[in-house]
Order: sequence, then structure tokens, then C-alpha cells
Amino acid sequence: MKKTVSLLMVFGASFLGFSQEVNTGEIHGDFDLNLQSYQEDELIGATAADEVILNNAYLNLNYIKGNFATGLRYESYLNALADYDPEFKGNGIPYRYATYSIDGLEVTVGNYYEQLGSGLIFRSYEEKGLGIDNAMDGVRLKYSPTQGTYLKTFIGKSRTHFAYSDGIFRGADGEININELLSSENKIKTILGGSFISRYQERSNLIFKIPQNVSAYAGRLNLMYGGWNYYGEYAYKINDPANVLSASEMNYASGNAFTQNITFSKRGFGVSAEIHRTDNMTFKSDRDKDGKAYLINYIPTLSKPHAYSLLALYPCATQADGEFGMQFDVFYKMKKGTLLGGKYGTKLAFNYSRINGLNGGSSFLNDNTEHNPMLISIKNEELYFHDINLEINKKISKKIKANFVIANQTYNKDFLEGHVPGDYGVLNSTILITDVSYKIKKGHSLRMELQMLNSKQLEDYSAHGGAYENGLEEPAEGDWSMGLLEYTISPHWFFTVQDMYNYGNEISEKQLHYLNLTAGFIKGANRFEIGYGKKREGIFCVGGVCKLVPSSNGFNLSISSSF
Amino acid sequence: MKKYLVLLSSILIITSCDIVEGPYLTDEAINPIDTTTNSYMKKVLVEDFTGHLCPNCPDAARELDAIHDIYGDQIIGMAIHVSKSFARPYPASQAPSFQYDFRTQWGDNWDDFYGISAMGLPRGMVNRIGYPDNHKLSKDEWATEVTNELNKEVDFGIDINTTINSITISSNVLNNVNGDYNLVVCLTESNIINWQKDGQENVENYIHNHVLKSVLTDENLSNSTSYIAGEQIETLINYDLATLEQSNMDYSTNTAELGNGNAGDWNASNMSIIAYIYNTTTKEIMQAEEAYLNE
Amino acid sequence: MQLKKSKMNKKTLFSFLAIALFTTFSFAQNRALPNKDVKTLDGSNFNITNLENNGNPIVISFWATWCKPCKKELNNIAEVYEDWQDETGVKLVAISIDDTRSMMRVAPYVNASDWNYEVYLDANSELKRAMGVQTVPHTFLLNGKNEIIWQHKGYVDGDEDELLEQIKKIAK
Repeated sequence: MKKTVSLLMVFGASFLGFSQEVNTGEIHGDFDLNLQSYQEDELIGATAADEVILNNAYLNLNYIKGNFATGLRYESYLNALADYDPEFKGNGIPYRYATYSIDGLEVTVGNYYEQLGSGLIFRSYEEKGLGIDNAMDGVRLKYSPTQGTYLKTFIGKSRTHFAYSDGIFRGADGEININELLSSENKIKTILGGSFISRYQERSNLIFKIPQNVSAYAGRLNLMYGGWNYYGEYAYKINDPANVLSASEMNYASGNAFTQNITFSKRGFGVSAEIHRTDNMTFKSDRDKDGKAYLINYIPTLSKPHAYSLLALYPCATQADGEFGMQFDVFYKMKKGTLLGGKYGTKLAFNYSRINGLNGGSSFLNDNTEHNPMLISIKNEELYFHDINLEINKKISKKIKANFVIANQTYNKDFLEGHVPGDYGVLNSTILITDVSYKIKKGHSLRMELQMLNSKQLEDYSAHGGAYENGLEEPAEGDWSMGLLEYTISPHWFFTVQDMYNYGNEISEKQLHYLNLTAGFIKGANRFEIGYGKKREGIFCVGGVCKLVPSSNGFNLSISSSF
Repeated sequence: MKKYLVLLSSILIITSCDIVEGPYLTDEAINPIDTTTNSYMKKVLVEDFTGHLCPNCPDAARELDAIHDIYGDQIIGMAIHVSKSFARPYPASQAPSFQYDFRTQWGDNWDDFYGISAMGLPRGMVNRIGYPDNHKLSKDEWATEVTNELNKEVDFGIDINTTINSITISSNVLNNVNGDYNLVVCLTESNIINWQKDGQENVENYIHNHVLKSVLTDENLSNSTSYIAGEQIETLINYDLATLEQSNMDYSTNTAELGNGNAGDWNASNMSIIAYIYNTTTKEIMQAEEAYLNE
Repeated sequence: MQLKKSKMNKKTLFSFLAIALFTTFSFAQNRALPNKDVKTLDGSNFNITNLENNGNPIVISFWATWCKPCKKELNNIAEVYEDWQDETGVKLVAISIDDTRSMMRVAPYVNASDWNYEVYLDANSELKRAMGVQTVPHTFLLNGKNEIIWQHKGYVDGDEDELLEQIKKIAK
């Protein structure tokens, strides 16, 4: 704490000393406040908050002078919003750093974020929407010895809530851009990279040998030729057993994962295909704890991030312990003047993704059993998630633009949400969306969205084949519909009314409307938004990491500003 | 020069890692930790929140058994069946599978208050340490937490004496302590043979141990908030097993969600008494003790 | 190891904040780009301070393939981009904050949409944080000396008209 104060004083003084000159030493930052009130609402299952109002607030300050930068972030949870981990309590300065670069060497001390390769073995990042912030606290060095080679190494502890996790991380990464290195004009561009991370955590187990240094390695290759781009990364993690005492739990299996994607694009057309496989690749900053605050690597789910609410009603969570996924995207623009393109052209986006389990489950190794799942297996494995969708964007006239989406998703609710098998089964939903914007006059626009979701439980996945009435299953949510009206006045105002209606719920008292009203004002770098209404209990995911959002009824206020 | 510095630190950072080749057991002798200078050992209560429909829960029960094997009588386990999803009995159409209702009003209240099953099962608490934000422990964290707890000071010593229909608890104060403490006395039953989901299987003859059946008292240890070493507080509790059994059956029929009243058939010869003292402010359990109901 | 939170911390912070805000607002808002690297679509590193447009204005727009208003903004501007360039010489730089999950979709999407912008990738949000961006879309306008003179959060239909006005004010 004293260090923070003196740090502030030092650069405060130097700042004031230079306050007459504009370009030597500047302070910038941003501020964000989110406040919500929680009222009791038995129908939707919302509980009132004892504090009535919950809020999260952040302030970032950055000072830059030439090649030197320093800054901090103040966070306040008095108390945190209901969808945040309860360990976010109180307020303080959990993020502060100083960094300088000289002659190509960049040194950072204090807090920093970092990613090795695509994040398979290590990613320290923040995602405010999820309440994830595993910033590192330590030292990081970056250096580029020659044109085209990049090195970085770091040491640190990872942040969880307002404290730091037990494990101490040491990492290094090297990347070589062959064409830059050899100053080659070759049409084929090649980039090679390798990374390493190791976690040290004391051992205290009385009967099993637990490794104190758990390391993971990854190698990556990126090839580009014309409109083609290939990226492949393979990761390996040594045995990482938890500190348990029961023999059946001891898992000395190593972990591995690979991710590969190929894309091709040219004017008016783009294709992307990717596959990934994970086996025992949950890597945490503390070997014993569980929860998303302790994850230290990042394996994104191979499904399309959807913006429309009914498409994101049942989102997929990554199974880092074992899954095989593939995804395929096509983007196409039908030119204007053609038959299908119409007067202004039409854009198409097609997406297909499928994620299933590994053959027989993930790798297992101890004194009694060993299991290695097959490398690639799609046919008989447990299906976790499946999504096929098509989006069509069309400008119909000078004043009207429209989006249409048709999708079909399969969601293994029992497995992905950790329920007792048979309680919810596997849901299959068909979704239709129409989104039309109408330009009333200059600067005034009206947008209307209509969404429909038709859901049914797949028969072969129901453990008992029985309905909810005989007490073997939980009641199904069934069909949903959603309507939204948005009126915007450029450049400052927006007003939204939206309603989600669960008309298909098996329990008739739960066929509820979730009505929401929002209004906002934006001017330059300031944004104010106020809203009121009901929120459905659900799962909110970013990149395959998910948080549970409890249902709520109340008003919300959000203020954000950058300066 | 700088480039070599960074290169060197990169290489040094690539430390050797500890790949463990089998066999995986250590050769170290196993000794229970004894922190006593007086005749009372520190005993730790591990509450295992579970349910007969929870496929991952037997793993937690096995972990609790393994911890018990290491530390012996210093570990007192209690299985508390909670939550409609994981512990409700199946409807009569599914008989004979999963017909018993293991839930109790106290188990459900604790679950509600401490927020355990809302996080998914299995989950538990070790001496309720870490309340209010860090007390819900996954089974992987129990071993570490138990070791921490066993290293703590023993402030109370508990003696349990039983006669027919009554229990006498002697709480002995070993150190001067201040605070508000409650004494809890529970009855548990072991060797209950009944259904349990275990991974992919439905096991018909699973042995349920130390299942919470009843809580006889959860009251102030004494009126005072300061205790002097050497003090002894006697608590006498009278009970009638048949009444307690009926009370559970009524709870199952009338209150528990989808309960069927099938919460009886207690076998007194398999029952035990668990008594513990906890701090009402921090919720931390200071000492626990276990004894058979019928000596 | 707990981080320390204390009352004294708050007092010092607030007094410092007051100084910072006062001095920040007491002179011109021009600010330089932070010294951060982003990646080009073909994997090379690019330092953002190396942006240049022959002294003409530059627009930096933070976007992501999953952000509908961002795509709307960039597609709407794409329709009139050529006219803007003829009139003002402006260059639009689109910085994608897509992370590993959707990063590989950036190039196919950009090409299929027929954009003529300079596109960069900020996969772990280093530049986003350094420029104080919280949500996307967030658009900045730079003058000929790469100084940020105007910014705007969010996008609704018609916002590109205000952006063009601001560009014209500083165009040569």
C-alpha cells in the first residue's frame, strides 16, 4: 500500500512539473459503473438483494511519458452484482503496473496480461462481463533480438478475486517470422512459435507423489499463401493430479490438445474451417480449487458467438477435460444487380459447429487403470452441442434493411449444465429471426426484431422416456418468442422495448413475459444507460467460459466514460 | 548484451518439470497429527453434502473415507442429503429403486443457509471454515483443509455419555476463550443399504454411512461469552427415537419437495451421536466428537 | 497473500484523482497513440504508433465479428468510404478485438464484406486497454499528427454523418 502511494506521488509530481507542455506526460483513463436493483419476484424466481442495490465500479488511470507508462485500476464492489462471484467484495487497487521500453527491450513490473500462442496452455486476461480477471503480478520481459524474432518471458502469480493464487508461474515464448527474418519475398509466409509455462505449488500429500512443478508446452505453425491461411497449434501438459487421498481419484494422465484452422478468402467470399480436441487440459492456478477464477488457460468453444438473444439462450461451455469439436463458416456476398443479389447486394453467412465427447472419456492413468481415448471420433460419442445456422443480410430499399436468421441447435442440457442425467435431457431447438431497420428520416431509425424458438427434448436422450408429470424429469422450458423495438436518434439517443415470452413452458404458471425497457444517451466518450425490467435466469458465456446469471427484477443503471 | 539477457532468462525459466512415473504412492510412514498437551485431540468435522441421484457424489464419499483412513478418529464425517434434483425419491412407479428420502429439515436448512447445493454436488465444508465466502469446498480441497484444521489449537474437549433415551455432553474448556458458542448434537446412521447413482451405474446395494438423521439441539453452550480454562459445562438431552423418526417422515411427506414420507426404518444399533461446538459469529467448528448411540 | 485495501488508500487516490482530472481538463485534449503492437492479417507485428496517412486524418474503429453495431457501422461507412476518401483523404483503420475464438473469422469476413480498410488484430486486448476502450464499437479520430482529437462510443444508424463532420473539420 505504501508503495502504491509513493508511486502515485512520484508520477503525480513529475506530471505537475511538466503540466505546461502538452506532449510530455499525459494521463488518460476510463470509468465504468454498473448498478442494479433486485426486487423479490416469485414468479420468475428472483430474490431481493438485502442491500437492495448492488454495483460494480472501475476506474482505470494510465500515465504515459515517452517510453515509460504506468497506471492502476481501482475496483469497487459494494456489494458486487448478483452474477459475480461473492468473493468480489470491498474495494481497492488490485491492478497497478509500470512499464518502459528501451532499445527494443520492454520491461513490465506489477500487473500485466499475457497470452501464449492461442491460449491453449496459458492466457491471462480480463472479461468484465463474466467477472474473470486473472491478471499476473510479477515481471515480464519482451525483446526482439532481430527482425522477425520475438521473445518474451515472465514470472508471476495469478489474480483471483482480491487475492493471488497459490501457484507461481514461469513462462517463455518465442516466435519466428521466417519471411521477416530472412527478408524474403517468398509468396509463402511462415511463422513458427513455441511456448512454455510452468506452475510451482508446494506439495503436502501424505500418500501420493504430487509433482510440484507442473509444466505445459505448445508449438504452433502459421502458413499463408495468397488467400489461404493455415494455423495449427499442439499443446502438452504433464501430469497434474489434485491433492486428494482416495486412490480412485488419483489421475496421473498427462494432458494434450490441438487446434487447427484453415481459412480462404477473396473479394466477396470467405471460408473458414477449424477443429480442436482437448484431453485433460484444465490448467488452474491452484491445483485444488475449482471455479472459473482459477483457470489459467483458454480453450474457446468451437461455436459461433451469437448476438441475438434466442440464439444464445443455450450456449455451449468448453469441456477442457475432453471434447472434440469442429466448425465451418462460409461468408458470401451476392453482388448488386444480380438476380439473387437484388439492387444493393445480399450477404450470406453460414455456420456449422459440432462438439462431442472423447471415445470412452478423457485419458486416465493411475496404479490400477489406464485409458487413452481415440484421436478422432465423432460417430458414437456423446453429443454435447450442435449448431447449424444461416444469416442473410439484405438492404431492401434506401430506407429498409433486413436480417434473417434460421438456425437449429442441439444442446445437451444435462451434461453441459451438470445436472443429474435424465433431468432435462438433450434439447433440440429451431430458431427463426427477423430483424428489420427502417430509416424514418435523417438520423432517426426504428428497428424491429422478432424471434421464435421451438424446442423439444430428443427422445433417445431421455433416460426414462417419461414426461415431467411422473416426477422423473424437470419441467421443460419449451418454446420462446421475443420481440424488440428500438428507436435511435443519431448521434445521442436510443430507446428500446423488448419482451421475451416463454409461451411453451410445461408449467402454465411459468409461461411468463420478461419485459424490459431501456433508454440511453451517448455523447462522445460518455455513455449513460438506464433500464427497467425482468431478466431470465440463464447462463452467460464468453468464449466457452460461463457464469450463472440469476433471474432478477429491477432497474439498472450504467455509466461509462473515457478521458 | 540485452538480447543474451533475455535469451538466458528464457532458458533458465525452462526449469525441469516433475513428471511422475508410477508407482504413485510414497514410501513415507503415515502418522496421525497429535497436537495435544492435554488428553483431547483436535477432531475435524467434514460435512459431505450429497444425494442418491448424484452420480459424482460417491467419489466424494470415497475421498472422505481415504482421509479418515489416514487420520483415524480425528476425522468425523457426516453425509447430508440435500436438494430436490439430487436427493428426491423417485415416484412409486419406479419402485424399488431410489424410494428412500434421506433428506432432513436441518440438512435442507443448512444447505439453504450455506448455499452448498446451489453450486452443484458433491460439495462440502470442513469445520465450516472460510465462511462467508470461502466455505464451499470441492472434494479436492478437503485433504488440504483438513490438514490445516488439525494443526490448530484445541480449545474445547467434548465427552459424550449415553443412557437409554438420554445423552449427556460434557464440554471441557481447555483454553481461555471469548465468544458466542453453540453446542450441536446430531444423530447419524451408518450401514444403510440402499440405492445410489455412481457414475454411469445405478447401484442397488450401496452402503450409505454417517447419514444425518436428526439434530437434537443447536443452542447456546452457556449464557456467558467468556470461558475460563478448566470450566466444564454439562448439557443433558432427552430423546425418543420413535418421535424423531416420525418427525422426519412428516417432513418428507409435508414439506420436502416431492417427498414420499419414506424416511423411517431407522436401525438404532447402527446409529451414532456427533456433537460439536461452533462459534456463532464465524461459524467455525472448534471441536467435534463422535460416539455410538448404544454403547 | 491479500492485497491491501484501506481508507488511507482511498483518500490519497481521490486527492490524486482531483489533481489528475483538473490538470487533464485544464489543457487541450490532444493525446498520442500508446506504444503498443497489434498483428496484421498475415501475422506480422505492427506498432500502432507507425500509423500514417500523409498528414491526413485517420479514423480508428474498434470492432469484433460478434458485435452487430460494429459491423453495421463499418458496413455503412464502406458504402460511402470512397467518397469520404476523395473528399478528405481520410483512412479508416479497423482494429478487431476478436480473441482466439473468432480471430480466424476476421479475414474471411473482411474480404467477403469487400472492405477497403486497414485491418489489425488485437487478440489479447492490449491496445484496447491502453486506449481506454471498454465496449465496442468505439471510434477515434486522429489528426494529421496522429493525435486523438475526438472519440465516440457505440453506433446507431446515422452516426457516420457526425463522424464525417468531425473529419471535415480537420481535413486539409
